[in-house]
Amino acid sequence: MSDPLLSVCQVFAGYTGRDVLRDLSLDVHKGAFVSVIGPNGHGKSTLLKCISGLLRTGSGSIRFSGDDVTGLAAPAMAALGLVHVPQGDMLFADMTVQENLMMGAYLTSDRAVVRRRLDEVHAILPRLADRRQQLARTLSGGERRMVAIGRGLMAGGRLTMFDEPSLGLAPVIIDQIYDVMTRLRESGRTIVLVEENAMRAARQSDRMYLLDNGSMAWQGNGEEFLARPEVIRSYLGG
Amino acid sequence: MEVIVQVIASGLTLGAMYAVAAVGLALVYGALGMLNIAHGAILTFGGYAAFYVITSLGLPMVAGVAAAVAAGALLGLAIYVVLVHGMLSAPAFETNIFIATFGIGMALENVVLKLFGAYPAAQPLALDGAVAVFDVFIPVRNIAILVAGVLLMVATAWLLTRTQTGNAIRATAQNRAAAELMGVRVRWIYAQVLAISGALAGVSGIMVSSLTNLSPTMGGDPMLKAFIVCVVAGLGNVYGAMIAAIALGLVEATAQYLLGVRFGLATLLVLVILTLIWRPHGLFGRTQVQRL
Repeated sequence: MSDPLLSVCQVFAGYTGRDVLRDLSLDVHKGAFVSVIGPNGHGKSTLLKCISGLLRTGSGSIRFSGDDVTGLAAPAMAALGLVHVPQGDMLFADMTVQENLMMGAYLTSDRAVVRRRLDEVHAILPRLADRRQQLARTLSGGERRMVAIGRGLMAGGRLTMFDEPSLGLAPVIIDQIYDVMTRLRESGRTIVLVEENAMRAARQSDRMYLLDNGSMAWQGNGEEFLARPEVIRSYLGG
Repeated sequence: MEVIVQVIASGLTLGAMYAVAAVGLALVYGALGMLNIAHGAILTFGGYAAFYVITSLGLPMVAGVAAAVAAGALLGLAIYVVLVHGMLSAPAFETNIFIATFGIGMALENVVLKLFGAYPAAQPLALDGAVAVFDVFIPVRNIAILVAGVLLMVATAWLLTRTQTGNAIRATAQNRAAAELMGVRVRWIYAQVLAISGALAGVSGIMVSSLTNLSPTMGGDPMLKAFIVCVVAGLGNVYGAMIAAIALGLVEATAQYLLGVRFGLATLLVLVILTLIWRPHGLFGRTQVQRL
């Protein structure tokens, strides 16, 4: 197998002296759809923040497309093509939908490329085309999530990480978000998905990591996961 | 009729002057959460920079304007390098930087005192003559201040909404971590915001001193008015500050005519109190609602 696109190796990290991640390792290969599942509060979002540079790692290393990127700040990681769609959307509330999307392509100077990506995003998330001139703060929860996803796609990154894109949404909207995830997977993008709903993630993942108390408790592919109900029961409470 | 024209003309002049000073203050507060008390001293420096270039070096007026802009922008950048860069990641940034800029402001004022002396000097960068409007003679310099003020407001609005830098400034102000995830180098944006704000203060220094005089303490009054404008508009609201500045300029001119010059500031302060009772976050301010 070729070298992984992203390789997290024995990382320890946390907030003000208290480690949330302990000896955590994870590999993501190009074109793969990787899910990180696990109970609430066990370090899934912390892991993504470490990778995208929002949070410093205590020890361990992170490699992205062959280069050591440990300790790089978020803007530098974004410049390397690593996209992080954060939990809670973190939209620019007083900017329009269109302006939010354009901020996603902040580092892309080629206007033709930006225009093409915008068309792609509008094709995948048609609602955003209708809401173009609306301020982000006036959108519904589902629409805000779509803006966050679309903004991430505008970067045209080499690896896109989604932090619980279905969190806090109505079931109907969750279905729509998962349709989007399926389309992204089929388009050959490299995706890391953090999710609490393990069954849902398992159905489309090439690789799954179960995070328990800051380290990886189990890994395998989606089918293996679905075939082992005891894994689900012991870590996720049935 | 003459009186109304007179009051409106002087109100608009005051308003345009306050707007230029207040917008710089609002920009910095909006982007960094930083109340820059040294803004008034930067303004003084801008006025004296124009004075020095024109009177001592004998250069044309355009060079004077350029000098004021450059001096203001450089001082803004210097405040970023010396103070903000190091304090930004420390706790209680907003309080610390407020105190620190207070000190820098005093130091700058004394530098001006040392360089140019305590005696007031006339601003050479001022237009002479007057234009008659409805039998009222309005000085050309007042019209120039109004025109320059409006142009600077339009330029600021254009910068914030139509340029890549402006989008990055707004994005950073609204959500710093998200802006970083988009690839925005936030610290560079902060440095630029302080430079832009300083440049506006520099121009505002010329405006203020062309109506009164140059003196080391001349920044105090416009700084206070700019702060009042920002509080009334809602701290950090740039467009609100533009509107509030014009409105307060008109109110002050009216109060000065109807009640006497010494009641101008008092009227403004009463208005601030009433505004804050009615709308604690300012006219255009919004309570920040935390959403999950």
